[in-house]
Amino acid sequence: MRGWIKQVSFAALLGWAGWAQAQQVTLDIQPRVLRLTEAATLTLSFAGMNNPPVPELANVPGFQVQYVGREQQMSVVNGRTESSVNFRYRMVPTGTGKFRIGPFTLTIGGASYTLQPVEVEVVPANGQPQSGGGNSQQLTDLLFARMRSDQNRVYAYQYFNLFIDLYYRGVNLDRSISLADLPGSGLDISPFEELRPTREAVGSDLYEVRHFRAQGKALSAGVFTLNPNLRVNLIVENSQPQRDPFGFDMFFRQRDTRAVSVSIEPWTLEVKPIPDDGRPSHFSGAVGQFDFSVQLSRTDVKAGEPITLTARVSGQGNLDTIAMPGIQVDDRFRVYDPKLIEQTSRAGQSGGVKTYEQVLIPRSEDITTIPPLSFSFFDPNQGRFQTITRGPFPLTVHPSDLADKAMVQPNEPVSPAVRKALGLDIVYLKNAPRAWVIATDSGGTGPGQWLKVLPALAVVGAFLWRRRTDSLARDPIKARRLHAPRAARASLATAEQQLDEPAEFYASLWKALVLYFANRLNRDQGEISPALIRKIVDTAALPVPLVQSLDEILRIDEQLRFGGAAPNQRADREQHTRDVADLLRACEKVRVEVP
Amino acid sequence: MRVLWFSLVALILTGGTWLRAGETPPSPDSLFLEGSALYNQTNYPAAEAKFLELLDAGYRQGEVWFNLGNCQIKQGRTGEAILSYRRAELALPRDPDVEANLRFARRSTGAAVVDYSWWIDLGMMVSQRHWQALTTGSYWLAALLWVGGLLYTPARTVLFRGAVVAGLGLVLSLGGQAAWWQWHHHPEAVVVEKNLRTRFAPMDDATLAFALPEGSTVVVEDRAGEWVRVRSGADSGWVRQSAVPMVAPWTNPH
Repeated sequence: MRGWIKQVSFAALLGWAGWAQAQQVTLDIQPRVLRLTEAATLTLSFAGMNNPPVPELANVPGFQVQYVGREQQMSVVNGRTESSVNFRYRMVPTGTGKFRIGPFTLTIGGASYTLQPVEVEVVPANGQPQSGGGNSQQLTDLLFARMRSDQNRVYAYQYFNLFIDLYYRGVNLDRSISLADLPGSGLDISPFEELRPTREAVGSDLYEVRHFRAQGKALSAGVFTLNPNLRVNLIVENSQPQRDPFGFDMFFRQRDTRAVSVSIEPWTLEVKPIPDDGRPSHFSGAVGQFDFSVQLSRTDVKAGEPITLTARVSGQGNLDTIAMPGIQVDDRFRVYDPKLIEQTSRAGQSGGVKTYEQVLIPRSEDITTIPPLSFSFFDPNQGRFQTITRGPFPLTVHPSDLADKAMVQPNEPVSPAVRKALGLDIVYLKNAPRAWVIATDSGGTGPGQWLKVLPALAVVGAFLWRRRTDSLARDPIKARRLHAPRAARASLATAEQQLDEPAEFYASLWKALVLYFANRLNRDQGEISPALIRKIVDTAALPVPLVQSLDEILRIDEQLRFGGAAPNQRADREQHTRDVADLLRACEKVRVEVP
Repeated sequence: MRVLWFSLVALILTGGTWLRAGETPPSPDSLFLEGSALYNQTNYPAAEAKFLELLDAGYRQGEVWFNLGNCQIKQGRTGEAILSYRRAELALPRDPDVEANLRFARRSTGAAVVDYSWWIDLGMMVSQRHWQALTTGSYWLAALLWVGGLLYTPARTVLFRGAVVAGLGLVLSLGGQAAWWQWHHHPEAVVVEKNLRTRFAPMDDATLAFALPEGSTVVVEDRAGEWVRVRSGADSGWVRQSAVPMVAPWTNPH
C-alpha cells in the first residue's frame, strides 16, 4: 500500500473512540476484466471512520488513475449507527495483461490494516483475451500523437506552422480534444484549427489521422520546448449492461466517454534574434516576405491642393504589428498623419495586405518631386534585411488661386487623425533615482532609537511644569513661601559685593532677612522688624551660634543706621554673610511662625 | 626630500585612498548608466548583470528593480520580470510605468494575483518608507506642539489643535504601517517557473493539485524543508520554494 497510497493522516479521526462500529478499510476494483479502451472503478471504503481525508494515489503500473469523488453512507441497524466513506477513482488501462494490485498494508493513526490483493485483467480492445502470454497491446499502440512544424529554427517574430497529428485505430474518439501546458510566454500561438482527416499506415497497421494546425511566432530569442498535455475522450460501451426501471436489460448498450492523456513527444524550437548587422535605420520590426507599392492620387496640382499618397504593404509575415513607413518631406509640404484604410490580416496570423493613406499638401510651386518612400523588412529565408524604395515621384505644382491666403485648406475633406495603437510593449527604462540609498534590513536598534523617547519625555516634563505653575498661581502664599530663599539669596549676593562698604553691606543683609521672612510668613516687608525676627528665631530653636551672630548683625545694622562707624573688619563681614546664609538655610528646615 | 615629506603627509591625510584608487568600486550612477546603455544595445544579459550588481550593493530602489524587470522580460523570463516589477511597485507605489509593465507582463502569461483586503490595498498605496517617515514626523510634531501649548499659554488653543491634527496623522500613519505589517505577516511570492503545478503534499510524487501560470502571485502559508505551501484564491498546494521566490525576503518577519 505504501507504494501508491501516499499518506492518510487522520488527525480528524481522533474522536473515533465514541463509535461503537469497528474500523475497517477495504479495497475493490470493478470490473476486474475489461478491454483496453474501457475503464475500471477503484473503491476505497473506510468503515467506522468519520471524516477521512482523500487518499492520494500515485502511479499505478498499467493504469492512468483519476480521482472521481467520495460518497458517504450511513445506516442504522438494530439501533447502531454504521457509517462508511467511499473514495472512487477511475482507472484507464494503458496496456493489456494481468495486473495484481496488492496486498497492501495501510497504517492509520498507529493501527495497521491489510488490504487483500485484487487481480485485474485487461484484454485487447477487440475483446479477445490473451492466451498463453501472446502479443500484448498498449494504449499507445492504438492512440498516439505527433507534433511537427514546417520549421525548427526561426527568427524572432517569424511566423511558423505548428501541426499536431492524432493517430488512432480500433478506438472511437469524440470531437473534443484539449491541449494544455503550452508555453505561457515567449511564444504566441494561435488557436488550432482542424484540417481534413487522412489515413496513414504506420508499420503494418492502418491509422485514422486527425490533423490540427496553428500559426505561431516567437516574441523573443531562445530555445523553446513544447511538451503539451493532449487529452481526448474515448467512446466506449459500458462494460456492465444497463437495466431499465423494470429490471430488464436495455436493448441498446449505453455509451460512455473516458478521458485519456495521449502520448506526444516534446518538440523543440530554436529562435534566433534578428541580427544587428545591416539593420536599416527605419526598420520597424517587419519579419517575412513583403511587397511594397506607392500610388499618388495626382501629380499635377495647384499649391494648396491635397495629394493622397497610398502606400500598400502585402506579403507573408507579421503584418499585424508593422507601421507605415514615414515620409521625409521639408516644410514646403503640409503633412497629415497616415491613416490605415485596409487590413486583411488578423492579429496572430501571418500575411495579408495593409494599406495606408496619407495626405500631403504642397505649399509652394517650387516643388518638383515627392521624396522616395522606403520600407525595410527582415527576410528570414535569406537571413538578411531588404529595403524596397518607391519614388521619387515627379510632381507639377502650379501657383495657387488663393495665393494671398497664408493657410491653405485641402479641397477634399480630411478626417481628423485617429490615434490608433499599433503595438504593445513594456515601458522603457527609468532614469536613475535622485539619491542613492543603501537599504538596511535592521528594524532600528541603534542608539539613535533612544531619540524616539525624547518627545514623550518632553511632553511629560512640560505637563509637570505646567501643573506646578498653575498650582502656584492658585496659591500665592505657597508661591511666596517658595520664593523666599531665592529673594534672600539675591540680597545676599548684593551684600557680598559690598563687603568694603559696611553701611550698604549690613543694609543688604537686613534686606535679605526682611525679604526672606516677609515671603516666608506672607507678610508685608514693613511688618518685619528686628524684634519680630528675634522672636521668630527663638521660637524656631535654631543653633545658639547662629542666634548670637544674628544679634550682632542686628546690633551693628542699627548702629550703622544711626551714623556709627564700622565696628569690625572685612573678615567679620564675610563671616556675617555666611552666618545669615546658614541661618536662612536652617530656617528652611524648621517650622517658622510668628509667635 | 621635500617631495618625500609631502607624499607622506598626503598619504596620512587621505588615509592612503589614492594608493587604492584602482580598487575603488564603481559608483551606483555609473553602474546604472552602464546597465541602461547595455539595454539600449539589446545586450539584455549584461544589462541585467549591472542592475543585479547594484542590488547586491544594497541599492534596492524601485528604479533598479524596474529596469531589471525590463531586462528579464526581454529575455523571455516573464515570471522573474513580474517579481522584479512587484518589488519595484513596493518601493514606488502608484508609479504608472511600473503599473503598466506589471499589467503587461501579467496579461502575457495570464498570471493570477492575490486579492487583499481593501485596507491593505489602501495602506500599500504608500510605501513603507514613507509611512515610517510620516509616523516619525507626525509624532515629533504632535509632541512639540503639545509641549509648546503647555509652556506658552497665550497660543495654547492653536498649538493644542495643531497637536491634535498631528496626532491624527500619527494614527493614520500607524494604520498604514499596520497594513504593511499584515502584508509581511502573510508573505507574498511570485511563480517564476512556467506551468508550475502544485501538489497535495510536500513530496515530488504527491498528487497534483492545480496549475499556476507563470508570474502568478501567491501567499506563502507554510513551510516544510525546501517546500512551501502556497495559496492562490481559495486553493492551496505545495511547491518547491525555488519556484516561488519571496517578493520581500529581506523584511520577511517569518
